[in-house]
Amino acid sequence: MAEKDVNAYITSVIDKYSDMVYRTAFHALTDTHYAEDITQEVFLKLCRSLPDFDSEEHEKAWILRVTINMCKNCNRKAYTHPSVELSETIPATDEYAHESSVLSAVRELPEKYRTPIYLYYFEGCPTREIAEITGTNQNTVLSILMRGKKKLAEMLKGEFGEDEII
Amino acid sequence: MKLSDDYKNELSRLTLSDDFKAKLKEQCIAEAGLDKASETTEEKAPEIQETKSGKIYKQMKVYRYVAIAACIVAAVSIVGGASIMSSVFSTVTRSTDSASNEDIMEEAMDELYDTDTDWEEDSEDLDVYDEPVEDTATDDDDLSVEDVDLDTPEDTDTEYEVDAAESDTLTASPTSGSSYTPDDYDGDYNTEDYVLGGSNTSASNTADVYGSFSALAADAGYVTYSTSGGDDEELVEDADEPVEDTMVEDDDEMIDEAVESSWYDEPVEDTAVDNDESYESSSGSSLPDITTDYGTASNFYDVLYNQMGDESETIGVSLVWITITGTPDASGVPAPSSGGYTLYSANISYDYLNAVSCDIDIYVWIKGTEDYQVKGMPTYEAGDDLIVSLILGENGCITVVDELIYDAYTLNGVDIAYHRVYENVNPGNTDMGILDSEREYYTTTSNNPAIYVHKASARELTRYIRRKVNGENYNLADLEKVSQYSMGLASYSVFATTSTTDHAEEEETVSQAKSTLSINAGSSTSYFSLTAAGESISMNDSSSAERLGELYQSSMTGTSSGNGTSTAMFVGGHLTFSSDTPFSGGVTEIEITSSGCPLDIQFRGISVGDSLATVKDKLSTSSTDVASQSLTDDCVITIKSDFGTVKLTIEYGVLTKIVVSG
Repeated sequence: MAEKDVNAYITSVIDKYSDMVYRTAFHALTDTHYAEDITQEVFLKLCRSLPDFDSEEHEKAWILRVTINMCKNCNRKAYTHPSVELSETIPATDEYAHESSVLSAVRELPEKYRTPIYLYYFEGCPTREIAEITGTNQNTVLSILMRGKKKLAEMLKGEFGEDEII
Repeated sequence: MKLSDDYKNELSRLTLSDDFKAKLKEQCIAEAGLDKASETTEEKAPEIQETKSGKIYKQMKVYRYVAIAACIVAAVSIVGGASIMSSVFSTVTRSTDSASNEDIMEEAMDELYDTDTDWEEDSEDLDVYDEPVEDTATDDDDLSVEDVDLDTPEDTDTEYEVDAAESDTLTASPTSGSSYTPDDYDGDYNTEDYVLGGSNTSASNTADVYGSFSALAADAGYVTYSTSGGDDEELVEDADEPVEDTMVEDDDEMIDEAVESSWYDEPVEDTAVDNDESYESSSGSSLPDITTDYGTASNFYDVLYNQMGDESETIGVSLVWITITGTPDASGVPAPSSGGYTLYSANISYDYLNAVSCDIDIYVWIKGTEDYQVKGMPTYEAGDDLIVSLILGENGCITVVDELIYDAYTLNGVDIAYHRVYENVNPGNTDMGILDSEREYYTTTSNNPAIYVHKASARELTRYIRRKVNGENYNLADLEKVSQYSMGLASYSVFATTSTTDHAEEEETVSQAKSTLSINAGSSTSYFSLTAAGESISMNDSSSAERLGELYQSSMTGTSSGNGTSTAMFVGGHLTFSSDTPFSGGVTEIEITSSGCPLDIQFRGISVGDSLATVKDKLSTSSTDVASQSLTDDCVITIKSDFGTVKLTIEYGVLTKIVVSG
């Protein structure tokens, strides 16, 4: 690929997918700073390898898969590197801690529910695709979506995900 | 406004700043530029060298030996010649039943001087033994002091108990469970001194050996053992040649693309084996130096929370001792899509999570075939013992958690679990330490010996895992049901029972079947169209019945007939015919209840597993506006036409059953 084309490609792919990667990482890690780090790593990896994609779907699935794998590694490292205790004087700020925020409720779910819920309800991925991206099987994804919806319904005292959901 | 709408609105505000994106673009462009400059340089394979953490881990073991040897001397001096410690300590500390205390000290000191360790090196990489430390810090039950007490029999765990007295008078040969016959055995009990020579029988000397399963699968290809056509049967039999998936008909089917472009190879991170570029041959001369380096091993908690957590939500978690009994015919058995698996028949003799003996036959798929094997992972043969955790795989098959495959050996009455190199896992303090001489074992393939990276007392390991599983309140598997799933005698449904509480809640919800919506379709054939393997089929039509036989008869799991009708059963579905002989006369009923059913029959492009929105979208026509109908997440859509009736059952917003009757 010519240098000009590479630059144009990088610009367009970041414009197209950076928010998606950021949101996916945010759902996996529930932290905006880690999510930004992961976003950076994903696109750097993409730019180093510049794989040939057959289609836009292929490109999107690859990016999502890399993002999820990196988030898993990030979680894995958390077990080996004890986190540093923060000073109690530093105030915790969380713009998403709004009481009635649905997003806050989703954040409170266990990790295994958050990513499939995001991919299904926001990105519109079918369960088969979610299974392939997350490395599980379709029955597991179905089961997780069901239980995740149920938990959200209990937490938010309302229906989550009715028929017009993608 | 629905909560999901709120969710989407809030999430759409979660974006990266323009500043961040601009900086990211600059960084990526710079990175691409740098990479281009060095693109002619061949990327070097990572060097394999013993890491400092590996050396430090050896140091830790030596320190432990010396410390405990000192304790032994102190204890002996106090009680005046007490007997040497139990077998537990022998596995951890290398103290022997017959060696003297002085010998122990001497051995420990010899080892101290023999280890290839630079004592003045600083430890820079603490990753490896942070993990074992982390384990003991977070769970008091795992402290070695408690774990050592093996001689105290547990009420529920008596099957593999070893008495302290017995360890002093061990027999001269292993129990019948092991295929190993030691040379020059002198009655000493030193598990680590045994060399697993193996039988060296070779089922195949020419297996293609791969560094990772993803590479293996790309060459082994993708097959469906429960096939949709005769061609696939040939592919199954002719496993020497790469096989191609002939079932692709759907743009959403990604498996076919994976064979050609391997687009999941890149994102999938390969295991420790890929890092081992120094491994040369099966002679044992250049074994990987990473046996005690857990830097590349999976974190056990990752396995616990992800894989085992998933299984808790489906068939339930299990940890069992199985004995391979053979390699049965895979026809009609749920199977993974990859051709890189072997189907084994096995007998489950012990259930570690319930701590009970059992006698259950099962079919289980494990990675690797006679011709396609991951390095260090040869195929198994009848008589081999394993400790595995069973999980639900693709298409409803039963396979195992890769990180928890242990080759099990009974050595002098003690069950020892050896972990193969692929998908290594850090098992915390259950690791006994493994000698170089134990790390390679010739089994079924002489050019690909099993490579072991760590070993544990089966009792300690399974107790550790059981404690963690119980701590998470995971649902345990019903092994009888898992056996049925494995053989295709029953199919797993996501709505099946996984816990009595959840099942009761789900049943209650489903029984309140909200509505049955009837759509009276017109006589136009467009309202009623069935396709199977891309071809159109009709109800009550003998040519369609015959064609279905050609496509699906080989994947049938059973038949029944009587009263002028017959039924052909499949995993997750059935076909009913208007004659005593299946696949003749005409199809009178089709039922599909699982997205993994080999009957890939669609109604107007709709398949089991589709969302309600997809169903509505595909059903909507100008004259029958399904979209405007009030459909809930739990309903039954009935479509009637001159050609028959179709019922689509929607549960929790997902299509779970299609029944077509003509």
